[in-house]
Formats: sequence, C-alpha cells, structure tokens
Amino acid sequence: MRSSTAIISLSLGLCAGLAMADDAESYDPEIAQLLEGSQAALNSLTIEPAFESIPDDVELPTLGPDFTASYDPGHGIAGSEAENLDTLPGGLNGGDTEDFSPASELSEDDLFRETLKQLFPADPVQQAWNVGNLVRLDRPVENVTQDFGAVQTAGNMLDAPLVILADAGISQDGINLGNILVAETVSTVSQNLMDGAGQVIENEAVLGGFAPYLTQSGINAANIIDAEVSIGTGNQVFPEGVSQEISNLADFSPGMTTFLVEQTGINVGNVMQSETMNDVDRVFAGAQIVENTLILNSSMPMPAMIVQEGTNIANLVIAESVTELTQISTGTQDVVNLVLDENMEPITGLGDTLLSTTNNYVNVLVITTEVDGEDEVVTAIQLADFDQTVAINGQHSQIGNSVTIDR
Amino acid sequence: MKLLSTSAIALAIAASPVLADEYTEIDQLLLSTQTALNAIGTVGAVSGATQTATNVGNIISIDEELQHSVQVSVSDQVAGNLLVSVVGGISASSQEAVNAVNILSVDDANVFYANQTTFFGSQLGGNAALTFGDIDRLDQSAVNVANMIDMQDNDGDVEIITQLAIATPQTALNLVAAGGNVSRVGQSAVNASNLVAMDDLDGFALQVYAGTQVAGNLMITGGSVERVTQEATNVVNSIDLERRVRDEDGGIVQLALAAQTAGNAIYFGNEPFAPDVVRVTQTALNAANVITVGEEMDGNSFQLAVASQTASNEAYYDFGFTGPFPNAGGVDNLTQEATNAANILAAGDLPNDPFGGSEIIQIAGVAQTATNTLITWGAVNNVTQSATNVANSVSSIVD
Repeated sequence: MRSSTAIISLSLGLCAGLAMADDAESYDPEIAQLLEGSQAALNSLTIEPAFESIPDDVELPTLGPDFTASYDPGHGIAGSEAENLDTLPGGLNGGDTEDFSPASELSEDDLFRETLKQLFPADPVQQAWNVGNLVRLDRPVENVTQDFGAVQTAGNMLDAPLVILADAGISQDGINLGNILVAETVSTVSQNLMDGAGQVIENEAVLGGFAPYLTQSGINAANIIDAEVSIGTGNQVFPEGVSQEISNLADFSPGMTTFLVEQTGINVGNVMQSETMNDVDRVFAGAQIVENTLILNSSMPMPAMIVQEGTNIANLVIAESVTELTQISTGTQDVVNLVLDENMEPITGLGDTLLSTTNNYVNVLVITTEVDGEDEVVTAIQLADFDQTVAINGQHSQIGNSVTIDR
Repeated sequence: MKLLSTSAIALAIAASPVLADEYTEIDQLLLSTQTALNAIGTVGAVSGATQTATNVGNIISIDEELQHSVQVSVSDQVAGNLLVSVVGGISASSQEAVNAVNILSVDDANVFYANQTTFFGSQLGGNAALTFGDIDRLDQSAVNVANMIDMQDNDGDVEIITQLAIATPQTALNLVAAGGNVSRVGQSAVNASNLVAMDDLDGFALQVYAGTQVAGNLMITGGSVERVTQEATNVVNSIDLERRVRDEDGGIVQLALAAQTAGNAIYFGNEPFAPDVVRVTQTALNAANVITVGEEMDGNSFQLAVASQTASNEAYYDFGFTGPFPNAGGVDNLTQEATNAANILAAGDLPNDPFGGSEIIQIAGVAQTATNTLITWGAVNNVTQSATNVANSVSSIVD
C-alpha cells in the first residue's frame, strides 16, 4: 500500500502544479490542448480481380503557362464552399453560413447533381475523419490555447475496375480538423500549428462498369474560431512547412460509364468569425494544395457532367467590427483540376460538360452589417507575399488582400 | 455502466455479503491466480449449450456509509470456453467468459475514500466455437474488467476516488470457425480498466493506467455470413457522472499510457446463388481518458494520454476456399465502423460563478489508426465504411 499511496500523492502534487491552480480571478473555463503524433483514418474496398490501371512510370503532365488562369476579382466565395463548411461537426458556423456568402438559387447544374444524388443514394459510402484539438461549447470561455503538432491522414480507396455498381452512386469523404474552437465568446485565444503538423486527404476510386455518379470530397480545416458574440485577443499561427493537401483521383478503366463525377477539395486555414474582434494577429506561411484528377477512357461516352472544385482559404476574417487586425501571409495556394485520357493527356473540348472551379483566397476581411448602427473603427494591416496558382480552364478567383465592407 | 452489463458481474455483486456498519473501513488484498474453463466437444450437433466461465476478485457491495476502502489485486485471471462440434454444427448456444477484479458498488451512502489498485496482473478471456458444419444462433462474450466503481443512483457524497492499473494487460478474444454457413452470431470482446459511474463527485478523482489491451473477434467460414455482429471495445480511464462535479478545488485527473488494439475480422466463403455477406456489422472502438458530466462540471480536469490506438475491421472473401460460383463474394449490407478516441470531455455546462473557475487541460501524444477493409469478388450493396480518430475534445452536451 505504501507505494500506491506514494503514487497518489505524487499525482496529487502533479495536479496541483499543472491543472489545479486555483485562480479566483478567472471565472470562465480556461482550456489548453496539446496534440502530437499521428491520426490515420483509412477505408479500403477492393472488388477483385484488381489490377494497376495507372502504370507507375507515367507522370502526370506538368503545368505550363497555358494553364495559368486569369485573375477574377469579381467572383465571391461560392455557396458550395460554405455548404461544405457547414457539414463540419455541429456546423462550423452554427448555421450562419449565410454570412459567409450570399444565398444563391440552385442552378440547373446544381439541380441535376442534387436530383441524381436523391435518386441514387450513395453506396458504397466511405467516410474518413480525423479530429484533433476540438473545443465546441455553447457558452463563453475565458482563455483557450490549442497547440497542434500531429499529422492527420484521411484516405478512402475504392478499387473496382471491373465491377458494375448500377443502382447507387459512390461517395468518398475525407475530413481533417485541427485546432477548432466554437463558443459564444472567447476572451483570449491562441491557435498554433507546430513544426511537423499536416493534414492530408486522399480519395482514390478505380472504377469500371457503370455507376450513376461518383463524388469525392475533402475538407482540411486548421485554426478555426467561430465565436458567436466576440473574440478579445486572438492569435493564429500557420507556419512554413505545414501543409494542407487534398487529392481526389478517379481512374476509369475501359468500360466505365457514369452520369456525374464530382471532385471537391477545400483547405481552410486561419479563420475567425464573430460579431466583434479587438486584437487579432495571424500568420499564414504554409501551403494549401488541392488536386482533382479524373482519368477517362476516351473510347467510352463522356460523363454528362464533370465537376471539379478546388478552394483554398487562408487568413479569413468575418466580423461586424474589428479594431486591430494584422494578417501576414507568405505561403502558397495551388489548385490543379485535370481531366486526362488513358494516355495521361489532357482532354480538351469538354465544353459545358466540365465545370472547373478554383478559388484561392488569402487575407480576406469581410465586414458584415452591424446590428446597432454605431460606427465602428476598422484598423487592418494586411501583408501578402503569395503564390496562387490554378490550372486548366474554368472559373477562377484569386483574392489577395481583400476588404469587403457591407453596411 | 451500460458498457458492462454482464450478468456474471451483477450476480457476483448480488451474491457478495452486505456490510452494514457505519463508518466502515474495508481493505481487500488479492494475490492469486484464478482460472475458469469450460469445454464441450462432440462429433454430432450441439444445440442449446450455455457456457459461463467467471473469475471475480475483490468485491465490495455496500449500502451504508463507507469511510475508507482499499482494494488491491496482484492476480492473474483466465476465463475460457471451448465448444466443438465436429460435423453436426452448433445452434442456439452461448459462451460467456468474464474476468473482474476490484469492484465497488455503493447504494445510498457517503463514500469518503475509495482506492482500487491492480498491479502486474493479467486478464485473459476467450471463447471459441468450432465446427465443420453450420453455426446458427450463437452469442460469444469475453469481458475483462479491472477497477470499477458503480455508484449510480447514490444520493450520498463521494469525496476521493483513486484508481490505478499498472502493468495489467487485458486480452479478450472470440473465435468462430465453421466449415459451412454462419448466421445470427454475435461476438463481443470488451476490455475495461478504471471505470467510474456515479451521480456526483464532491472532491477529487484520479485514474492512472499503464498497460496494453487487445480485443478481437475472428470469424472464419467456408460458407456465407448472415446477421453477424462483431464488437471489439477497449476502454481505459472513464468517468461518467450523471449530474455534477461540485468542488471547484477538486476535479478529475486521468493519466493513460496505453497500447490499445481493437479488431474484427471475417473471412467468408461462398453460398452459391446468394450473397455471402448479409447484414453484418463490425464495430471497433478504443477509448482512453473519457469524462462525461451530465450537468455542470464545477472543477478542474487534467487529461494526459500517451497512446497507440489501432481500430480495424476487415472482411475478406476467401476465394481460394470455394469455387467461383455465380455471385461469389456478394455483399449485401455491411457496416464497418472503426473509432479511436483519446482525451474526451463532454459536459452539460462549465461553471459560471466568479469563484468556481475551472481549468481544462488536455495533452495527447498519440498514434491513432482507424481502418476498414473489404476485399471481395461479387456484387456489393449497402456498404458503409466509417473511420474516425478523435484526440483532445471539449464539448457541450446538447440535450
């Protein structure tokens, strides 16, 4: 018994030192989270006999100047990203995604996609999730520190080169969440990604036969604060060497036909949303990469619709008033959407069949309508030294250092 | 403690003597090896067999004031059941293997100090059912429990709780091997160390775990698999409070140094002209350091997890075993869920009053791997694979 008593008193001492410091001044919870290590969520479905349909020695084409897209400042953050953000647990924005983007009516293309999914519920469904350092409270918090040094890998693999999946669509979803804070109010918050941290999503489908549709989606979210009322002092660090990567790869073997292929990738780093913010400092020096690749067999009918969307968001603030904001961005954002034939050559002339969307946003400050009509001072310093690239033709937006005031 | 509603533990608690003195002090020390084994072997069919192998050490069940209780166990427990039918097949049978050490159950009384300690003791629970024929209606349950405090629906105060499980490996395994078809079979393998379920905590709770847990279910058949459930669960350091932590100077400390492996595997054969996997669910869960507070968490918490957690579900069509009949390897309705969780705090609310401040600290160094695998030949319908890892989570319980 002596030894166990010793352990108890040792542990009690440890707690007194580390966790149980009594502080009468603070009345709201103080929360500290530290995560190191790895998280891997992997789903694999193989329908034999499988074969490697992409030879290892074939390289994907490199991006030439033809692929560089034009700058399109007029394009807002599309509704679909906000919808996807809302699929995070509990809704990252608590259902307030209207603030994030104006609601848009369903287009004909969207209607086609939605109808198809309703007619043919997805089967198989593959979902891979990693969550590290999550605080989700419907109340105020005093002080939150989140340090994230882990590598998250979410992967879904479907290998069915010869099989007919006639009566249902195919769905692959990967989600990585790191350093997420959702609360009513937070006085002081610090979110840090540390050296060695990373988020990787890989969806891969090798298919033959027929399926009504294939959807592949990936969301990486790191350093996200959604406080309903206010953020006092806020710090977010996304350092150099840390990356968010999404790869959606669909490889159709000869014989594969489908109505719809939908590939979506969203990387989000350093986001704050609240009514008011006082003192906010953020650094984004990392890399965000989305790669959507579809390999078709040119002898087969093309899908009726191919949707490839890549979105990167770094240093986004959505608020009614901000008093001191400093945002520094020196990282990179890449979106690559590719549709290739069996010889790994880009397929051209897809016309309306291909809906290719790329969005890169860095240092974006959105001031939304204020409630009480008082004039609020906005002081913002935004620095961007940034590479943003997109590939292949389509709809693109590259936003850097944007302030939108909507009062 | 819904997790561990095994009849064997309930029976053992009910059978133990009730102690009724006020201000009771109880010390229990167990140094032993307990072995419980059952075996049935026949050439022909087995129907309606019930096998229960149970080892229980250090139980306190009390409904009066408990001043002080210390339960220490340095013991090994082995519980196993073997059921063999060479050719006739197995039907309507059950196998339950239970090891439990250091159990405290209190009804309607105050508890000032309760300590549960297990050192250098292993628990091994396993069931095996083997036949060259078919298996229909079989339940297998393998459960290992070390350090459990059950004070649900207790109106008394609870001041200090300490649970230590050091170098106490737990292994729970179930095996089904059949030459023919398997239907209506449940396999459940559970390891649990350091569990508390009660209404309120008025002081301080400490849970320390250092060890390994392996929970696994394996099914090998020459034929089809229909209506089969496999559950593999490992839990260390869990505190479940129905209502509140109500001492702002107190709180909960959980320390886990754990290697947890939870796995389910099915190797299936072929039933000609029908799908081979029908209505099958595989669930693998590892959890380390879990605090649930139904109402208000008015106190501090510190959770440290250094853990390797591996949760896996696998289903393979063993096409070398049977010929390529039509629809060989067809799958209709398979769900695979693999989950790892470390450092979880869920509370109805956190303190609001100016003098009841709380700190919440979560530190995790983890390698979490959640995998689901299906490899087959035939038509695949209604397949869902879900792999999830969670480390460091603080959340509100939403009604």
